[in-house]
This record gives sequence, structure tokens and C-alpha cells, in this order.
Amino acid sequence: MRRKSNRIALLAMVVFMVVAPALHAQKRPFIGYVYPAGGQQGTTFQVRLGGQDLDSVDTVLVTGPGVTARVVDYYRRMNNQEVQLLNEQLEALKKKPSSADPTMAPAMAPAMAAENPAMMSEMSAVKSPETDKQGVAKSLAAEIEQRTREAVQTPACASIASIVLVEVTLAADAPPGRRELRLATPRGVSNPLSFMVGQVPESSRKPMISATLQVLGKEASALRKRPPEEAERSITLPCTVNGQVASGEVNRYRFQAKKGQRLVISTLARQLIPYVADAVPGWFQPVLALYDANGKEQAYVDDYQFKPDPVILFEVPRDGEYVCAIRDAIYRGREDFVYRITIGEMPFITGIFPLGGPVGAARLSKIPGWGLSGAKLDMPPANAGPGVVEISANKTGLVSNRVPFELDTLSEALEKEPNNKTADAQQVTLPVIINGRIEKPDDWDVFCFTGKANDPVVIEVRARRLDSPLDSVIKLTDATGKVIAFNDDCEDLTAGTNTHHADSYLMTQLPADGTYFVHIGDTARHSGEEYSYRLRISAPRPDFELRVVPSSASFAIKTGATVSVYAVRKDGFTGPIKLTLKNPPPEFTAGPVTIPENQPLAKFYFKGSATPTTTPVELSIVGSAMLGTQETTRDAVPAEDRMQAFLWRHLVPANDLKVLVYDSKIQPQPKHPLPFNAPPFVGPPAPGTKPPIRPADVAAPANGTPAVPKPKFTAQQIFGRLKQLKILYEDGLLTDSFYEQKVTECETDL
Amino acid sequence: MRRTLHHLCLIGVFVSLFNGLQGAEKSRISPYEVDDFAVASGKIDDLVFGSLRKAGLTPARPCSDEVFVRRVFLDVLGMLPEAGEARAFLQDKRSDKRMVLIDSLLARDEYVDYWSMKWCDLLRVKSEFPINLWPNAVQAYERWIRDALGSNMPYDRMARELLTSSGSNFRVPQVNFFRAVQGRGPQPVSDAVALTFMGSRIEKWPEDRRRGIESLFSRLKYKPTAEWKEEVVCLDPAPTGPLETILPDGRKVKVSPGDDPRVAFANWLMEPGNRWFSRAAVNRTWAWVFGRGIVHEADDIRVDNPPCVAGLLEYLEKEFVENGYDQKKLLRLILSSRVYQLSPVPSCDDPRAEAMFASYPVRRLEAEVLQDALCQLTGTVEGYDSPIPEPFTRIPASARSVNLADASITSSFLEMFGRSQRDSGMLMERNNRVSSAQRLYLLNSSQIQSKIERSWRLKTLVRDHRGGVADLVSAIWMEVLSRSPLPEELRAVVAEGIPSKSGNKEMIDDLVWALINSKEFLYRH
Repeated sequence: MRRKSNRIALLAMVVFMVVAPALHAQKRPFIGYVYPAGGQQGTTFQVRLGGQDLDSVDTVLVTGPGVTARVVDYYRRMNNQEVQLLNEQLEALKKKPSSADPTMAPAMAPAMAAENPAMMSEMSAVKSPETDKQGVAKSLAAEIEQRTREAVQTPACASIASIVLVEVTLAADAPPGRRELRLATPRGVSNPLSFMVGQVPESSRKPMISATLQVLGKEASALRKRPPEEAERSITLPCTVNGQVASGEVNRYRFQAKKGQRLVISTLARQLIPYVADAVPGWFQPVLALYDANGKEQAYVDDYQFKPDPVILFEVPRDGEYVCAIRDAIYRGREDFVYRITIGEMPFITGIFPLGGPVGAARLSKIPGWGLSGAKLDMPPANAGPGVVEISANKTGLVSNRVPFELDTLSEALEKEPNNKTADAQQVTLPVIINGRIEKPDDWDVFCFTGKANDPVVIEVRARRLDSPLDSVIKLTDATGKVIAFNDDCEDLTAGTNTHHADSYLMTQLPADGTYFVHIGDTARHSGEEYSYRLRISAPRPDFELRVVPSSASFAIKTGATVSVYAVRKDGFTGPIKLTLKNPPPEFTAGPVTIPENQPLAKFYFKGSATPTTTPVELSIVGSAMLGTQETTRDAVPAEDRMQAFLWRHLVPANDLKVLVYDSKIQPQPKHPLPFNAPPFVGPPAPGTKPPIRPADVAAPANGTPAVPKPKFTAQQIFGRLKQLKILYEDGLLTDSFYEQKVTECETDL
Repeated sequence: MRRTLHHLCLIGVFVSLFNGLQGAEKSRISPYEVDDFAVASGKIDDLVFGSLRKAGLTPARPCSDEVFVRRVFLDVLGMLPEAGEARAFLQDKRSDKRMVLIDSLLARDEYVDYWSMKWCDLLRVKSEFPINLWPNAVQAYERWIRDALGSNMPYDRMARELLTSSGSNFRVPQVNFFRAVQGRGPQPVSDAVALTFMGSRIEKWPEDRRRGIESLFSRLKYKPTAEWKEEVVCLDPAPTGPLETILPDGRKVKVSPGDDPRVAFANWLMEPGNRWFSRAAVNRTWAWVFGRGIVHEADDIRVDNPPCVAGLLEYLEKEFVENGYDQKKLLRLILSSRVYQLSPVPSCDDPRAEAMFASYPVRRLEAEVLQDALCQLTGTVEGYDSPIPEPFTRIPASARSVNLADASITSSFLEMFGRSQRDSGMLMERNNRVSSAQRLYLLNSSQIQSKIERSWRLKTLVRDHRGGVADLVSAIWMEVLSRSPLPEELRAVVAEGIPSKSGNKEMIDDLVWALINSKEFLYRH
């Protein structure tokens, strides 16, 4: 056993780096895409997620009822040496088909039995039938082949190169719509991704292997050579198709349609992943084309109004086959260019008016759209508080797209034409929210009110943030026509996925008593039925909104975590905001933190319990401040800080803030632990550590005899190799004999 | 070695034949000319032949069907006719077959592809420096141009949309007209406006007219958004006073506050009787067909640069305007004239004759057209990539080179053959002159060699024409040159021993390679 003792000696030589788990920077798990990004109610299917820092992933969290999911497999991203080792293992497996492969040296059995009785009994069970061993070898070979197939030498995007396979089950009555899906490892909770629950049958293409990095000058070599027959798929309507677009590819879907059908072909791409990692333009921007059976183009849509996800509204002119094609607008592609297209006679709301209403009395008469005759609108309940809710139309069970609807507490008015000039201005009394539309070309809506000198007044437009295509521009003039204030675009940091801050806003003081006119129009002079707005003219309503970044945190027991809380102050609110936890789970505490006066940010530290959480818990942070004379509390909305196109940053809201508390002493158990008595693997050797010199290597006398042979590899390299072997073994990808053999090789290289 | 010699001999044979054919004056040369015109005489012919008569010059003879079929395919679609299409046309006995062919070609999708390419050259559709449209805007802009040509949008409506649209550069692609210029501000914009819609070089204008047009384009706002490279182009909504300035013809104009001065300019430009607009359009279309405008350069219309044929511009403008600025109708009018259907062989040596359209101007094919012709002949494809966006753009191989929307996406072949850089929008930016690098490439390059050797079309051709030497050689001639070989050409080929008894494909490859190097292939004639 000289070999074994040497090995122990070798490992013991390694500097034992004691690291306090709490200080060890745990990298937060990241998931970049999920494919397919949804499924039909009442089905069970497998999805793939791509991300990084997902070691030992074990839990899937999905918001909303009716969805359960579990982790099936995890393909960690592997480097070239690991892939090479696996290939060697595969060859070794294939070389010995039927010979009895003593996976354990018999002499080691007693030592093993002491350490690992479970393993021992397994061993004895395996030892007897040779076919069992063959079966094990075959399944291991299959698994290795799967892993090497998935392994990409240089992935185009390293942050989505580790793959997790998850099985999702949707209940038949799971409410349709958008959910958020997260992965959790024993050490952290990932960011959320959109996951859709659909209502019509689905068709998904085979998932893409991670794309290879494209190298300048050798772009063609990074293309996946998809067989041409896979470009087109046949489907029957209604259907939701899922796919990923690879570089330079066009995906086609062929279906039968009847004359007179009013088809809605709507795409979700940016709505699934608003900001894609390492991409310029910053998201997958599809274009949709529709062809008839002869290949003649019937419709082509790049963007739907101002939104990058195309929607085709098509009345079928004659019976026959039609082909729908999707690609990136500039022929890019990668595995996180995920889309969902729903094709069928679906209910679809094109734009509502008004865009909101007063709390408790909001009303919508008619909603323009396709397939909505006889549909029922699900309006917010009468006791719903102020804010933005999402409403949809329900036609015989099919739920339409969701559109925003705003509830507010001020009195409201409807715009009355003609009001294009100051002479025809519509009289209003403050405070008021006016619901209007820029319907005709060069339409300007003018409203007038009386005010007193030094009255502060706020004029705010809410249109683009409520999905209206209007690009508003407002100005405030006095009775002589002099312009007192003017605004075109005003940035709103709370609108995370909105990239054109088209809604205007101005806050000013009236110079004198008298009549004032508010003019609103479209900057680009566009107009139409959908160009609706909500125009608030009132005294300032100081208020604030809070965003918590990131939307998940994890820490060891008896320690805590810090999140950033951003305050977006509105209408000139400058006061301090006190942050606390709202109804925290037992043992979670946080000292009240205050965002100081006029500051936009504070770090919020909270502590957890002495016991680890069994499953990540939800935390709510609230902020309270004195708004005028009243203390008001606002919930902080969790958000993710996302980068667009390597430059801009956006706070994308998430559903909840998830927190995980773990015991750092409990290490996650590997799938297939090392059986023999090896000291725990710790950090790399301290720099300067030399590998042990065996007596044989001691320098010979310097008279003609050969000099000391330099060790072939440095300690660092050998350590790295041993670590790779250990990890691969623990993943269950190496046989014991192969592992032994490789470790021995390492030793002899010293 | 033997192969190269073979190759060179063949090229020598065909070069001399074609040159010889060009030089012969009095005798009738059958493959290129016929005795009578196949179309009726029109006003264009009266004007052009009249001016030639006045100058004492003789026009060339009418062109043969072989010349016509290849010429009209290249001029309308930017592609060679398939052998079957050419043969069908040549064997057609109808008297109006040329008009039928013109009409059928104008209805094809490839017309939209090729003429979009010309418009993209004019409108500087390029994503990188110095135009900086950016890839997403380029694809939206090119798509709009294609849609406009595909739906045969009247030219005045196209111009009005380009001049007066507002909105996001990605969602309202027409506004890219104001972004596809070098730099920002009224100066480069008015430069572009004058070049595109008035066919005029603004640097030659008097100072006051220049300042006048610049002030009409001085109220543009370029508003960026938080989407990468998105810009909203619109009339600056900030309150402002009235604008008093002069139009390019010297008339005063006053624009009220809140009104768009671009609309005032567009209204002046498209006023009935404003010759600037229609003249530039008509002259440019003529230049796109013939390679030189009635006023040459076609984008340099000035008082001291008179048209070379009197009255022709006025006639064409009248027709154009009366037909509602229909671009296809104008094109059809030009293509159906006898002047268009003249032979490429000049009948007189006078240097003025070429400028007065006494014969069809022989010009080298454009880079994209040549690339597509080579790919079409050999049944191969070319792929294009662009590293500008991330992940990289990969244009599917099925797309033709004329469909390349972006001037920043290019290849060494296209650059060598003078593809337009689209930096200025001038017609001369496309360089169709022959250089020695091009000659060497066509003669020597391994890409061309491998294209021909791997070509499944040639292999099919050889397989389908085992009936004899004449049969195979005719098929090759029809494929490459869209005509039948002359008896002396056939004799020359047989004398070289092609094809040998064993049906040696290498010799067929050499023959095709030699033909590709001939002027008759490389030039539109």
C-alpha cells in the first residue's frame, strides 16, 4: 500500500487552506434562458435551463399555483481536459466489453467496508452477474456520450453554458399566463426567468446545443449545420410553437388554414428575456413573415407598434397551406434566442381606452382587438387599490394577452374634441386625470385651468408605460401664449423593460394668478385609435417607489446578507424613507435602515436564523415615509439589475425576494463520493510549494551523471488535475479503476 | 501546366473573336445584329435618332434576340437568363415577344432585389462608418425600400415619405434618410436631399440658395432612447418662432411655428411644373439602364451641363408625371424603345456617338451581379457574415449577393470588383472599370476553379448532353452566353480537342473557365 500512503502524503503536503465559509464569496447562481419557455396546462415536459454557478442545483421554484418542477440532471460546463478525460474513459469502457472488470482491488474491500457500508453492499450485489456490469458500463458510456455531446469547447456565451434539465408538470387548471421560475442550489437562489402557462397544444423543436464562440475570420466554422429538412415543421392550429434561433437560421412552420379565419400570430421573445447576456442589440429581435403555399409573402412584421416582438393579424384569403417563418432581424442566433409563437384564432387586445380609471369605479366599454366578440373582460375587483393591474379578455375559456390598466384616486375626465387650439381648450378643475387620445394627424389636445400665483403644479403623462404607442410632448402656456414649461421625454427608472421613456413630465410653479393651458401632442406627429394617454394635472403628490436589487439572497446561518434598495422619488419628494421587513418569517431580523433625505439608495442588511431554511423563503421589505402629514408605506419591488448591449443598465422587476439560509458546515453531498479515505480537498497549494522529491530524484553526483530531472508538471497543474478527476468521479462519470489509473499517472509525473 | 496553357489558348481564341466582332463595320454579324427592329418606333427614338442625324452620326443596327434576352435579363433582374429561358425566348415565334418578356421580367421578385440594390446605393444604406446607420436600422430601411419597389409605390410618394417622415429609426424606417449621411446637421442633410431628389451637387449652388435649403432642414431633432442605437427623428417640438427663408429656386417661403419646414420643401419640390424633381428621377433611371444619363453625370445636373439629346428629358418627364410617377411604366417605356434595343457594335467611330446613345453602351457587370452570375452558373452559393452585432450576423447562403442590404457586409471579391461603398450616394461610387487584379483573379483564382470543378450544374450538363460535341458545346454556350456558338467558334473548340473522346470533364471545366474570362461574359452588351 505504498502507493496509497504516498498519495496521502502527497495530499497532506498540500497546504490546508482553512476558509471561513461565511467569507467565501458564494457566486449567485445565474440562469440565462429556459427552453421551452412554457407549456400547455395539463402536461408534463422537460425543459432546459442554461446558466452558471449552478453546482449541486436541487430545487426549482415557480410562482403561482398549479406548476411543479424538479431537477432531473445537471451538465456542468466542462473544459477541454475534462472532456478529454471523459473520452479516454469512454474508450476504456468500450475496450473491455465482457471481461470481468474488477472495479475494486479486492484487498481494498475491507478498508472500504469500514468507510462505506452502503457502497459495500452495492458492490456485492454488482459483483455477481456480469450482465449487470455490462449494463452499468453501457449506461455509463451513454451518459458520457451525452455529456461530451453537450460539451462545447468555447461556448459563445460562457454565462449560459451549464445546462440544467428540469421536468415541469402543469396542472390542468393552472391559471394561464406568466410565471417566474428560479433554480436554487444548497448555497444560493438564482434570478427569475419568465415561464408561460399556455392553453393550446404546443410544439417544441429539439433543444440546441450551446453555440460555439464565433471567431473573426472563421465565422463559418461556428455554425451548426442543421439538416435542411429540420428547418420546417408542420403544425395544426391552434398551436404554440417553441424554438430557438441559431446563427443565420430561419425557422418555418407550415399549417392549414381556412378562408375567413382571423388568425393572430403573436410572438414572445423579448417578453421572455428582456435583456440577453452579451448581445448587441441587447435582445433577440425577431421578424415574422407569413407565406402562402407558393412562397409568396402575405405578411411581414418587424415590430408591433413600438414593441420588438412582432404580431401578425391575418385574415386568411383562401383555403390552403401557409408558412410562418421567424428569424432574428439581423440573422443572429444563439441558444438563448428563445421564442414562443402562438398561432390561431386567439383573442387579442390591440389597445384599450381609457388606459385606467378611478379606484372602485373603473369602467371599460369596448375593447378593440381581434377575436373579442363575446369575450369577457376581467376587470380588477372593486376593492383594488391604486396602481397598475393587468387585465385580459376571456373568450370561451381562452385568455387573451394582458394589457396594463391603471387605477388612481384622483377625479377623472374624458377628453372632448374639438380642443386643438387654446380657443377651444377643454376646461378642467384640478386635481384631475384626463383620459384622451391623439386620434387624427397633427392632433393637439389643449386643456385649461385656473391657478394662483406660486401654485406648484405637476403635469404628468402616463401613456407609453401603459403600452400606448404615444410619444407625448407637453407644454404649459399662460393666457398670452407664452410657454412656461415644456417637456418631451422624461426618464422613469421604475419602468425597467421600457427603453423609450416617451412619457412627459413637468413640475413647475405658476408665475401668477390666471388661466393656464396644457397642450399635449405626439412628438413625431403620429396618431391613431391606440394613441391613448392619461394626463394628470394636479398639485405635486410626493411619493416614492422602491426597488430591491438583487431579487434573491443567500447566506450562512448566524450571518446575514445585504441588498440594495433604490428609491425613485416622485413629484419632488425628498424626505427620508425608513426601511423594514414586513411580516418576516421567524428569526429574520433587520435593523431599520433609512434612505437619507434626497438620497436614492441604501444598503439593507438583514440577518437570518440559527437554523438553515429547508426551502427558500420570501421576504418583503417595506419603506415608510412622511408624505405631507401622513405616514405612508410602500412595498419594495424586488428587481434584477440587467445590462443592455454592454452599456445601459435597467432594473427589471421580479415577483418576489427569495432568501436562502444554509449551514456552511453541511457540504452538499456529491452524487458519487470518493470511496477511500482521502483528506478533504481544499484550496490550491500555496505559491512556492514544491512537489515532494522522491529519493530517486535526489541529485546525483556531478560527474558525468545526468542532472536532476525537473518535474514534468508544476504542483498547481497536478493539483488541478486531481481536482478534475475528483469532480468527474463525484459526478459519477468515471469508473473506479479508471480513476485509480489516472491518479497513479499523476503521482508518477512528480 | 498543360491545363493553364489550354486555358490561355481558349481565352485567346474567344477574346480575339469578340474583339474582331466589335471591329467589323460594314458586314452583318449574325449573333449580335439583325436587319429590322422588333419593336415599333416611339418618341424616344425620334428624338435620339433625330439628334444623331443632326450631328451626322449613324446609329448602330438593331440587336438580335440573343443579345436582347441577355441584356434585358441583366438590366431588369441583374441575373443571367437560365439556358431554358433563353432558348424558349429565342424559339418563340411571336412578333411581340420582346414586350412580353419585358413585362414578365418587371413582374418578377428579382426585379425588386436588383433595383433595391440600386436604391440602396443611392440612399447610402450602410451600418458602419461614415454613415453609421447601424444594422437594425439598415435591415428596416432596406426592407422599406424593397416594399416600396415591390408594391410599385409612385416615386413622388416615396420621396414624400423619405422627406417628411418622423419616428424611430427602427420602427419608421423612412426616417433613416436623415440619418444616412456623413455627420449630423442641416449641411450633410441638405447635401443628401439635393443629390437624391434634385440630382444636383449642392457645393455648386450659390451661397444664399445653399443657406436657404439648409435652414429648411435645420429644425430636426434626433432624440436617442435607451434602446441601443435607437433614435427618434422628428421636427423639434421645442417652441420656436417662424422660419423665413428661400427655396432652391429663389422664392421666399415662410414656415409658421409648429409647422414642419420639411413639408414646405417637399411641397415645393413636387409642385407641378417643378422640373428639378422629375428631371432628376428620369435622368437617373436612364442612367441606371444605360450606364450614363441624358445629362452626364446623372447626379450633376447644372445649367452648364446640358443634356446630350435635346428634348428627351422633357418628353420622359412628361410621360413620368402623367403616369403618376410610376417607376415601372417609365422603365418599360425606356426598355421598349428602339434606342434601348440597338446593337452594342457601333456603326461609326465618332467619340460623340457613345454619349448620344448611338449604340448600346457596353459596360462591365456590377460586382454583386457578377458574383451571382458565377454562383448561378456553377450552382454554388456565397455566405456573408458581419461581426458588427453580437452574436455575429450570418446571412443565409441562399441569399443572393444583390440582396446584401448593408454596404458594411462585404467580401474581397465584391471589393475587388468595385462594389459601391455607399459613403456618398453618388452614381460614380460604383466602380465598374476593369483592373488587372480582376483579370488575374478571373484567370487564376482557386475559388473560381473550385466553383467550376465542383459545379453540379456542369456535371448535369455534361451528363445530359452526351449526344455529340456540337450538342454539348451548344448547351455550354447557351448556359454561359445565352446564345448558340458560331460555326467558327465550334470549329475552334473542336480543334482544341474539346471534349475528348473520353468526355474529360477537366476540358469542359477549362472551356467554361475560358468563357467566363471572355468580355462577352463579363460585360453587359
